[in-house]
This record gives sequence, C-alpha cells and structure tokens, in this order.
Amino acid sequence: MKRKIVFSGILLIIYYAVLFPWPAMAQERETPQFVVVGHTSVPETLPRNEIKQIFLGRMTSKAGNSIGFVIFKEDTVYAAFLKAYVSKTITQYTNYWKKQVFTGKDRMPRMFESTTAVLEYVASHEGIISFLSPDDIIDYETVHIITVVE
Amino acid sequence: MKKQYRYSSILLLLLLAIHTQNCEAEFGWQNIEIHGFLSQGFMQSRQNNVFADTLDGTFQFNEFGLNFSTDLSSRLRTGLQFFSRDLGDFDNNIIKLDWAYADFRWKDWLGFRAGRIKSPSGLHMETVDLDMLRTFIFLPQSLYNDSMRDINIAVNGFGLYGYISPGGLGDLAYQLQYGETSIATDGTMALYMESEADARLVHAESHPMLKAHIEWMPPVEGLRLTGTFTTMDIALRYTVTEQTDWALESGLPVGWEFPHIMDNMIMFTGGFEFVRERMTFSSEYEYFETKVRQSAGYVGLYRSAGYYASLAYRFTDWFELATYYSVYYDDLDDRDGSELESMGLPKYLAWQKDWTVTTRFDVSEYWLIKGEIHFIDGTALLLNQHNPEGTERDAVLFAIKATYSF
Repeated sequence: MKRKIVFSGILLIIYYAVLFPWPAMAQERETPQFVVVGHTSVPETLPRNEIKQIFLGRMTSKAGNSIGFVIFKEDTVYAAFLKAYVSKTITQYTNYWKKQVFTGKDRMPRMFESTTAVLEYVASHEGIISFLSPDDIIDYETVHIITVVE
Repeated sequence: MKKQYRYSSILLLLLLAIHTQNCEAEFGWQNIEIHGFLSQGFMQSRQNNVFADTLDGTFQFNEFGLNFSTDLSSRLRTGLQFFSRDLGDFDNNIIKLDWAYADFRWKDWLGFRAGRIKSPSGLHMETVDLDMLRTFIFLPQSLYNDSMRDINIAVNGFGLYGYISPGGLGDLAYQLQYGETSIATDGTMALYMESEADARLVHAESHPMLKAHIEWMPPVEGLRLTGTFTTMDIALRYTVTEQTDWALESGLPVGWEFPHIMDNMIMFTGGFEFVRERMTFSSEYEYFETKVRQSAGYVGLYRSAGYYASLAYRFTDWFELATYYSVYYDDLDDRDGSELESMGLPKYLAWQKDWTVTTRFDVSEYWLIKGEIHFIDGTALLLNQHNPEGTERDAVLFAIKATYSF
C-alpha cells in the first residue's frame, strides 16, 4: 500500500511536470532582459548552443582562438540569461561549477557585481564574452554586442 | 615502476604545455584557488545499526575537504584535494589525498589527465563526498554503496576526456580512465568483504581498471543520460578467525589463509536525469558481475544489481523536498532469498529496499542543513560487524547534517 502511494505520487508529479504547458520560458526568450556582449576579437554572431557550451566551460576555443566568459552577478539579469541560454537556475549553475571545482576540472567563473566592472574586463581581455542589461550598455571601443543565432 | 610512469606523464604534460603555448604564464600565490567544505551530522536508527552503531545515536558522521588548484597555462591545470571523513568505523578522520592531477586540455574534444583522478560512475559518483551538491544526505545505496568506495572513488593513472557537439544530436561528454584503485585492508571495502566472508582480510590487490563514461545531453531541454562501463580484477586473501563459523565447522583452523579472486569483474551503470524548472527526476540501474575463484578453483559467477528512482522539488531558493525508492539484490539468482532460507539464514538478507524522504534548507550561500529519514526493508548491505547479534528485517534511520562550503 505504501509503495502504491509513493509511486502514484511520483507519477502524478511527473505528469504535471512533463505534460503541463510551461509557457514562461518561451515568453522570456521572446522578450530578453539582457544582451550578450563580447570583446571585438569574438565574432559578432554566435550560435545559441555555443553560448551554452562557453558558459559551461565545455568550449574554450573557436577557430583557433581562446574564448571565455565572465558573469554579471545582478540576480534578475543573471537568472534570465541562465534560463534562456544555459537552461539552469542560479542554484543549479552554481552547483555545476562547484562540481567542476571540487573534482579539479576547472576554476570558479570570474564574477562582477557592477556593469562597469564587467565592461572593463571584457574590453581589456580578448576572447571574453558576458551579458548585461540592455539599459546599462556603455560604449567601449573594444566591446560589441553579439547577436545570438539558432 | 608504476610511480615512475605517473610522474613521467605529469612531467610530459607540463613540457607539452610549455612547448605548444610558448607559455609565459604568471604564477604566484594569488593565482592559486582554495576551496573547501566541512560537514557534521548525527544519525540514529531503530531495529538495526546502519552505517555505524546508530541504535544509540552517533555523531561519528563528518566530512572535511580542502583543495588547491591553479592554471599553469591556458591549457594546463593542476591541483589537489585533501579529504577526511568519519562514518562509524569507516575512515575515522584519516586525512587522505582525494585527488591530485595535471590536466592538459589540448582541444575541447580531447584532454589528458594524469595522477589520482576522481572516477565517474553514473550521475553522482564524482560528487559522492560533496554534500552541498546534492539534495540527499545518503545517495541510494543500491548504486552508491558506501562500502565499495575504495574501488569506485578514484583511479591512480591516466585519463582522456572531451566534449563533442555532433550537430542536431545534442552534446556529448566522455571520459576514459586506466589505472589502479587502492584497497586498504582496514578500509571501507575491507570491512564490507569481511562482513560477506566472516573472515579477516589480510591482503588486497587490484589489477588495472579500465573505465569508460559517457554523458549525452540530447536536444530535449533538461535531459541528461549517462552510461558507465568498468572492468577490473581483484585478488583478496582472508584469514579464518574465531567468528568464521563456516570455516571452523569445516575443520579449518583459526589463522588458515584462503584466497578470493574476483576475475573479469564488470560493472555497468546507466541512467538519466530530467530537470524541469524546479523539479529534478532521475533514475539509474547498475549491474555487477564477477567470476569468483577460491582455493578449490572456480566457484561460480556472482551477479548483483540495484536501481532507484528519485524526485526532488525546490519550493523556494532556500527549501527543497525530495524522495527516492532504491532496490538492491545481492544475488540475482536468489532475489527472494529462498536459497538463503534453505541454508537456515533469513531470506531478507537477499535484498535491501529503501524509501527515503529528505528536506534541504539552504540557510545562506555557504551554509545548508538537511534532515532525512529512511524506511529500510532488508539487510543485504548492512555489515555483520555493526549487527553481531543479528538483524531485523525492517529498520528506520534518521539523519541530520549541516554543511559549510567556500
């Protein structure tokens, strides 16, 4: 009896999780709250999947050139970016990188609290990309907005 | 000779990195990253002792880890982690080298590792000691049996790894490892094998292990599939003690030594994890097989298997609730224990089924607290050393644990 209740509960939760329409994510992709920026050494367009691989540390070079990233740690922009391009919450993303650190595979991503700090770092480091609120973009000679393609 | 191969490979990786990079990497203390964690818990059980002397309650339940790592160049990384834990009779806070290796990432699709490397298996083996990275205090023992840590946790040898994105099929991550595992005669596996044999382990030797692990993230959002294949041979030698009833009844004297060879040991683990919004659903299956040889020759083929399904839901940023149901059969040819019963033993020694409910509270970015309860049916994975008076079929285990990580 106990097992039947447990399995029925699990099946019920799976049903709602898998079959219930989840429109929120699609809607957020249509109205992004951020833009992807990068050093001018990075191509002006990047495929969506490559953005994901870069921010998971799985892609570290493109066309023979090193590529990396930094994080803008403002919660709403951070969460929106991760949800749209990496398919993780902030907690899930943090745990992913903690796993990399505590198994020796990589180091924690560099993070900045302010827009200015992000832009200054991207501007002075070739191959680096990040994300920012579109309202906070300041012109830097060596920073451009990257168009994400499917 | 084996150490020479290990150190030579690390040196070769360093030379390769310097040659290909024309490296002028800055190196100083400011470039070394330091991270760590500390956990302390309490367990108490009813009916049987589980993991330790838990009937009376125990605080012999903690873990500590500290790691140092740095990038020597854009492609070469090195680091090490010290780890100590106490889980009842297991490990008793002895500080060990958890991992220490050099990692040269030639391309995203091909990297090389050499040294003591964390060994992947299934979804969670690489992080089995990292309480802050999972919901449950104890992972399902049907696959993540704490007693088998010695051969599962790390390998001393070499590894290849890489990430591939074959267009349209999602993403693949792979690891290949070849090397040896450490089996201490006073370690976790020794206690488990002594419990199985009712004899004292005096010598343990493992022959090189080959492991292949693959993770596939297909173009279905939130889905991850894993497959792990492991093969190795293990040679054990036991000595008869005053508790080895089966040997004494056969006329064998105390102190008599006998071998126990596990040839062509293979282990296959397959599973998936599906993450949707705040929900995580996962399930895994593991099959284990080995040919056993003793003094008289070939004894037979030993096969065991386990599986589980788990569900976790994060209600808020600070609260998560989860549950799993785990099943383990010690002998696939005797799942219902009828053969054990015919030998005068309780049939519930043949299996261990565990329904667990866990709550996790993330107090802050660095602190978390967990509470967990297990309803256990069967005793296949319990140690005789913890239950010398025998066992009951059912047991309940309660555990609480706090972890700090930085």
